Amino acid sequence: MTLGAVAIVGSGVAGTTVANALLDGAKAERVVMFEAGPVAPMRVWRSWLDHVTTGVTPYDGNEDIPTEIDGDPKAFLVPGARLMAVGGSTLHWGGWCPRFKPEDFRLQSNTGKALDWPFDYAALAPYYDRAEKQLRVAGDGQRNDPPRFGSAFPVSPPPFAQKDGPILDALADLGLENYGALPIARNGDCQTTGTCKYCPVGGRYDATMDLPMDAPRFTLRDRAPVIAIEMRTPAAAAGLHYLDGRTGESAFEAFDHIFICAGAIESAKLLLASQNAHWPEGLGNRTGHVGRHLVAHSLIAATGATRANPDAMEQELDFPTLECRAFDTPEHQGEGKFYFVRDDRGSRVDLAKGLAEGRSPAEMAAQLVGPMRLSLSGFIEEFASAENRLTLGSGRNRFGLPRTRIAYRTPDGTQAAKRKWVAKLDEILLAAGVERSSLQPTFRNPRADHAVATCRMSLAPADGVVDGDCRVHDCDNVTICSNAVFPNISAVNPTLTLTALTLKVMDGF
Amino acid sequence: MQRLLLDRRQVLAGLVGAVGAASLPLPALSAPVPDDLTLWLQETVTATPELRAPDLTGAPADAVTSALLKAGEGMTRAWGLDPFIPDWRTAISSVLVPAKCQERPSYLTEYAAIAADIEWLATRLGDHASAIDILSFAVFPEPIAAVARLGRYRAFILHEFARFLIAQGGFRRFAPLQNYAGFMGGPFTGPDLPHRGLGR
Repeated sequence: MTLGAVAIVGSGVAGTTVANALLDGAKAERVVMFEAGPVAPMRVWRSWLDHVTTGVTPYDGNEDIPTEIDGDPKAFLVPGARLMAVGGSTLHWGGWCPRFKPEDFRLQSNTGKALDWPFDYAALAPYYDRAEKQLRVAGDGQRNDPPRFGSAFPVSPPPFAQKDGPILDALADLGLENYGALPIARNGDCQTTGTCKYCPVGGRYDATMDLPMDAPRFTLRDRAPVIAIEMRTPAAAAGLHYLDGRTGESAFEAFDHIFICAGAIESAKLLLASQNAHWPEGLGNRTGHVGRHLVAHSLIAATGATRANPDAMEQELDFPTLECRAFDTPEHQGEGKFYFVRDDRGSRVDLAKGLAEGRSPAEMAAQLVGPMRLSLSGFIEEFASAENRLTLGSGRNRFGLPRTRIAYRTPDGTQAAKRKWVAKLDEILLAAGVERSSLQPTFRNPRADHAVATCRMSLAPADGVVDGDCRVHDCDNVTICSNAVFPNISAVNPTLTLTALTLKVMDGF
Repeated sequence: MQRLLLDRRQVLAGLVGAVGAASLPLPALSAPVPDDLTLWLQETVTATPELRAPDLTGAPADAVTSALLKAGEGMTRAWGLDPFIPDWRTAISSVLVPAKCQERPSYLTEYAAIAADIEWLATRLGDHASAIDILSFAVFPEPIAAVARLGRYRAFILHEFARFLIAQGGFRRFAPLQNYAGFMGGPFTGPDLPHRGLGR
């Protein structure tokens, strides 16, 4: 079936995947993508020079600012977590691409918490393969937990850094399992410039690489925030209202199908803002789940230092190279699984800053061979609560979108898990040779980078917002491809799973 | 090719070891700056910290590039970077400065003003090296405003050139590092690692 006009709300990895599937599969005569933010030039030599010499990027200024978020900003952090720009948050993401594990799709069956996914890991596995190719993920195909069913990564993994050595030894000494190269979206173009936040050569995937800008049936409308979806009947959307950011004028455009690919926050807000006679509480919200169950990772870290670093060991790459999934297991699922990496990036010594501020070369050289800092950090699976939710704030933000109001409280169980897992990281660092007196924990509340579940998938309309094909329950032509539909977050980064899920949805579309 | 690269790395590592941290020289230190020069350096010359005329693009005059190279020379000398980035002059004059002037936001007007300041101070002191030492390394008790003459130099020349020079390979001066932020270390998929690996 070929549809007429199809709208995509959001231009990140999910929106781009949807656009290409529609165009490549000749599933739509016309595809219009709406993005609230502007175009940020990527892979531009001059912009990279500016990044090297001043630290700025062309997308600076497109993050949330604290005054645009209502609620306790410390309980759930939004500023810095996402970007409003063409390409979405892939412009600044780290590119970590671990798969979810089979037990992550069965959280309710295994623990009684949240919901199971409407399908299992095996159903998503072929799409994980395709997602890894789309994102050009470098990884170690020999590792098989989660199972890979023989598939290889498209790029071989970045070899461990010298500084991984002490941690690798410690993990082996402690008898831990399932650690190795971190799967990461760094492709064969990567020149290891140490400037991953703004890559000059496209060595780190961002969604603008795959935007079908040259396709004649594709239109990108940047600076065009979508305000609401209008319904033709209770089960059929007629089109959407958006603002033209250049003129300030609002407009309506009719579409046969609408894909919402706007992340866990904006996807839910768009449904909530789409109130009408058929859906007085917002589209898809008859059972009150839209915006609820908001959950993301709590982040913890442990840092310590060895007495000296005679070889001046540094990570020398702007991304981590070692992950450990020893505590990301079914056994730990009930208490909150834990995933961690050795999280040093680049150099801990800013040579240029030190010199420019008047320190001598001898001082800077001494810093490099001084105590060696080792840091481990990771994510704890936090569990959703219906009371943790986002709603519409009053007024609009700089991009013309409704402001965001968030009510969030980290569950008590997560606090206990934080203490437990930091103690485990300390144990590993001590085994790696750090001084006990140097150990420093870091506890950070959830941040919106990995927010999920605000439009969660469910088999029954009473339990969620979208079905297993990510269509809004009781609505035929609105599909959500977003972290918002995940019933739970697992212990790892969600972007690879989002890409795989979107590919699966589009195969069935 | 692989052999040549390894040899180059060994040479660089040897140089680092040879100079050793203890024998690294301090940056050139200036004599106390006369009061009238301090006033001149701290004089407010712009209304805001932003670039002057960022939309005015073009090729910088040779005299401007020449003055900026004098600044680079003072830094590389003080920090002992020359052996590690022998082509730093080309990198500044043919890469950094043109790129910063020919595209927006343009440094063309900013660089011209700073170059004029360098020349004025060099004339006053009798040589460029003394001028660059004061501009780059003199310590003043008062905070340096971003809109002051000296603030402009330190933001747009000292700090930015320092980052550029370190990224061009100057980082090797300080330790046997193989890669650093801003340096094109090369692909990790090839036989030569861009970073120091486990070696086991």
